[in-house]
Amino acid sequence: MGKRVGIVAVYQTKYEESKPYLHIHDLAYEPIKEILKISGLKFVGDGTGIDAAIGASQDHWDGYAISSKLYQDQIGGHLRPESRVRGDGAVAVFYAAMSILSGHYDTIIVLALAKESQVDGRLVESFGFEPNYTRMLGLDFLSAAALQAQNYIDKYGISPEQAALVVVKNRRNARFNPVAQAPADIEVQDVLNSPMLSSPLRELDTKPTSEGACTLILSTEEKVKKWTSKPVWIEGVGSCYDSSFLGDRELAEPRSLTSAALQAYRMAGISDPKKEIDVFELSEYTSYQELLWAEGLGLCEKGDGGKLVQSGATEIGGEVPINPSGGLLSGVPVNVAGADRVIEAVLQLRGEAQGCQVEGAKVALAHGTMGPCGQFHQIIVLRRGY
Amino acid sequence: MIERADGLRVDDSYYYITIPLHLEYKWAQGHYFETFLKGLKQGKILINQCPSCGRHQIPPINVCGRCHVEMGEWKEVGPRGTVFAFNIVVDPVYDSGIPGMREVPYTVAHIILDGAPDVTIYHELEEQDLSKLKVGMRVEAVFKPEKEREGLLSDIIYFRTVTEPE
Repeated sequence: MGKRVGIVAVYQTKYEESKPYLHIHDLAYEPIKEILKISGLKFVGDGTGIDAAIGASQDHWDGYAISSKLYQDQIGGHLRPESRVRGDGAVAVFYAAMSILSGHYDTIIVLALAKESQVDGRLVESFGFEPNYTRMLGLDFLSAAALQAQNYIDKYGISPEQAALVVVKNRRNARFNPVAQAPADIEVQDVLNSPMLSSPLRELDTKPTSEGACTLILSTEEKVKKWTSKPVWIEGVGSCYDSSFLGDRELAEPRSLTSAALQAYRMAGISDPKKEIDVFELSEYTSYQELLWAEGLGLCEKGDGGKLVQSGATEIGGEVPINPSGGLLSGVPVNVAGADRVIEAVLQLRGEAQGCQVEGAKVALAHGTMGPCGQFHQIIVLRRGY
Repeated sequence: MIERADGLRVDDSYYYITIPLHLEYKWAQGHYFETFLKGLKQGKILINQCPSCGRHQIPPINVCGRCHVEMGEWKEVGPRGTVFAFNIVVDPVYDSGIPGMREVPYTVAHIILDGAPDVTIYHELEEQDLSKLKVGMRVEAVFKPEKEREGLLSDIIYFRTVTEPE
């Protein structure tokens, strides 16, 4: 990148299974109010404040067509530029960075939110399948992810115990994350004893229902340096889609993730991610996915994801710490997930990750994904700038 | 089957399937909508006002988009008001509140409620005779009997025409 884009400020709500006391208007306004306070910025178009807004949410989750109307006033979109990413918040961060690099805007606020408890999420996800084929046959993201996990087990001999280690690590890490929904001091056996949902996936192998929102302000290098003493720069970005039909994919080979990661590594000048990236915040909707994503990112050989977690390398003090925040398995809503990974990466690079802090983290990778079994991936590589 | 010169069929022999779409939401209302809807249940139209620019919001939400400040005072407005715009719907439409097709005709209007001159409420008018509808006519909210109210917009049946002394 010629010019640089950086992060001015971040804010996350506490994530909870349900927030029945909040309308989506209210869920949106809390983080916006807080980030304006933290940054001291206002919605003004004269170059001294926030120029435009980008939301991340989905109509089917929200029960409303073009559901960003539910936070247009809250996000500063009243008679001002506002747009929306239908889906993961990491993509909204990517759009914000591109908008700033284009020179059209200097400063953009990103908001991602979801209230998952308001609707049957598995039904919503079933709308992600084409109507006359897999949807009609009852496929949803959970059973698709189960097919993927089983395929991964069969291909590489991954064991349920290895996958359960991911859950144990993430839920334990969440104990030190003040916004985490479901911190827990659990053991492998707790995971293996949890109810079977869709074999081989048990309840604790999957992300719990969650509600919350998060927000970031991004700006140009010049303004970021002026507005914060702890700048964090976006150094590399990459995204990639795989086939929509599951039958056209290799479910145990996240090739679109690898492609997205290689774009981001090249842009950030990274040749060995294992050595050059200090912390990884990944969107693991299932325990098995964290292992697969580690492989796709080149952190170990194909099929070695299980051994990687067993070795302790992905613990906070390990060689390639993954999800020190507790990850999605500790409860982060859809849409919010990728933006929240970026925020957790920023907190790491600023040394503000409290008990989950990876000492001396200088480079971090944040990951978002959309679609069943990780159809689409968004990678954002960030670097500490002070 | 009849084929056109360009190969397209002119009868309805193309192949279709029916795609059902049903989602039900338990939508959290939060403080602002709860206050508004519970007000309707009590036969009151409660709205809020921006502490910065003074404008009213119907329905009330948490933020004034224009000033980006939290909305302040609640006030009761109406039930009388003045018709700002109207139309009579004659082509049936689907009403997700029923759910089902609505009976036609019916008259919808934007009404400026007494006490909130800068904003309108969208609702129905009792009057369905186009010759008797006029912008500027005076109307009044007619609530359902108290026992039948549910804390929904439909607690107001419609606005009826009222005659007031000059």
